Amino acid sequence: MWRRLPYVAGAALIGVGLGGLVLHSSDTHPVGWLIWFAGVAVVHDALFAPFVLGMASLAGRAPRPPVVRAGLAVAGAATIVALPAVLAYGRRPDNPSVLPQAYGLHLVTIIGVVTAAVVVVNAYAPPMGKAILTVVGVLLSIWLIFMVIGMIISALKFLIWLGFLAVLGAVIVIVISKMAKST
Amino acid sequence: MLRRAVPLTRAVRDGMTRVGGGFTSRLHDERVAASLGIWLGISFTVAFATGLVSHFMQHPPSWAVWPSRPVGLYRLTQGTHVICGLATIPLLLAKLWTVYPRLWQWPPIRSLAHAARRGVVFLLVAGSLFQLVTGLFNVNYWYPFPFFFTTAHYWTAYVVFGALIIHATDEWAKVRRQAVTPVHGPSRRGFFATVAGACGLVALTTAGETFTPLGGLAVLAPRRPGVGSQRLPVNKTALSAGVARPANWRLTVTGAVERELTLSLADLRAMPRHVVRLPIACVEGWSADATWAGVRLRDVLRAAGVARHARVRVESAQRNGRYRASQVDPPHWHDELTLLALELNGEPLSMDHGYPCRLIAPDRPGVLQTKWVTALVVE
Repeated sequence: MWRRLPYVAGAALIGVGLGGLVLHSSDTHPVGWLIWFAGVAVVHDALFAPFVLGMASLAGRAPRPPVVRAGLAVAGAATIVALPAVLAYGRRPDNPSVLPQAYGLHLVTIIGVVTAAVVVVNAYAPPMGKAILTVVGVLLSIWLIFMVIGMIISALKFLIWLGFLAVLGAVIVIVISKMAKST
Repeated sequence: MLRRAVPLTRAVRDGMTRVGGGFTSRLHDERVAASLGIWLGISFTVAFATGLVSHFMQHPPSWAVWPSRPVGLYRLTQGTHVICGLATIPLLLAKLWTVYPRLWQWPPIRSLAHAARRGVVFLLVAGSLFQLVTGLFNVNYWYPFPFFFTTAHYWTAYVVFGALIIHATDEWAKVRRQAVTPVHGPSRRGFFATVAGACGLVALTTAGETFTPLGGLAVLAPRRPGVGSQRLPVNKTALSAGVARPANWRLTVTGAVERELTLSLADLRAMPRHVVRLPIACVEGWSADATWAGVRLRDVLRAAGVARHARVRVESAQRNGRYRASQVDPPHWHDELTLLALELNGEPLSMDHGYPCRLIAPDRPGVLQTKWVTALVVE
């Protein structure tokens, strides 16, 4: 009796879900729903999974396949999650607060950072545990560097501008003095 | 007699002959599948629970009353729902990769029970992918499907969770067997680290749209908390709602009241002004704090004379749309933080934020923070 309880509960929930989908057909468009429901599974099983297996086997030719595969998996995950934002079909001319960022550039940057991490790990060829720590370390230190640079820039923006103007002034003075000498 | 499940190794071998090559990795094994399964079970349970919270906050059944505190409860549950959902995408793909050889097991169906089991697995796989794909599209405001997202996502959740319960019960013995033996071997550890890294990267680059301390890292988030009209994101603009700047705005209070009221903007400004700091917490997962100023909803309702247990419908100048009006239950309209806001971040509301008057209340989904308010109807 108790052993069957989860099966009964599970079947009941499935029934509730399917029933709700049929009862609210004006919202759920059951045929369209079914196409998408089965469609995502078919796309995964027939296209996506073979594509991943193919990429993984291509990575087998690399010097350290596990590291390259890990890099591909992480970069691939970021790509999938970012893709709708990169394509940005959701953007609306009347609402600039929707999808406000340069997602293509951000994604390329992330892929670049992951690639750099893979290259670093491959070059030094440490054992696997160390390799993972290195990847994490590289990512953390890149983030830290950007944070620190950002903080310094925002704090010293004024001084940097001042320095830039000073250098510009110096260059102008030098150029003028050279011109004066040559005449 | 119950048939024993085919060991994965045999499934792998069968798979190899079936598809021709591949599936040689040790990672297509029961232990990896069980560990990823536990994490997916946790993640989908969290998503189901937080999703139900969001649904019933928007469609409260007559017997249930939601609290107006803690202020950030909905912000927490919905942020968790969306960010956990996004981070689950790599996790689900890793799990499907691990068990992929079983898709090609031969013969495909061995008995009626086996067929039923595979049917449930199909509901689980297709449903999980469906939920994550439609959810990902929805938070990016992209609707290429023919159904209304909210309704389809809600009912499909029951199918997925039901299938998950059955699947978890079927696999429980395996999971328990795997749980007592520690995971070792460099390739397994590396695999788990990769999956964790992918999930972590997704969470880190999106969580900042609701969790302010990570704001600077939210490079893949569809929203940035400070970006928008008056430094606050907008979901529905005045243009898309078909609302124009009113020339002679009035707020009416009607229904079950002792005296009906018609208030001008000057009348509202003459009432006690209160300033509150409350977040807009959207169903799409983003949230952002803002400073609002205006009159307390309860002050306006008490001026009209309403019963303590009355429910109030707040109506908008927006003529069409599912969210043109919202219901405010007693806990929310009694709350001192619930305002009919006239100002946002120190300025009069912009048109896109509901000029001249909008509702803002604690612990409430953004779509129910009705904008361009014109009428309060007491029920």
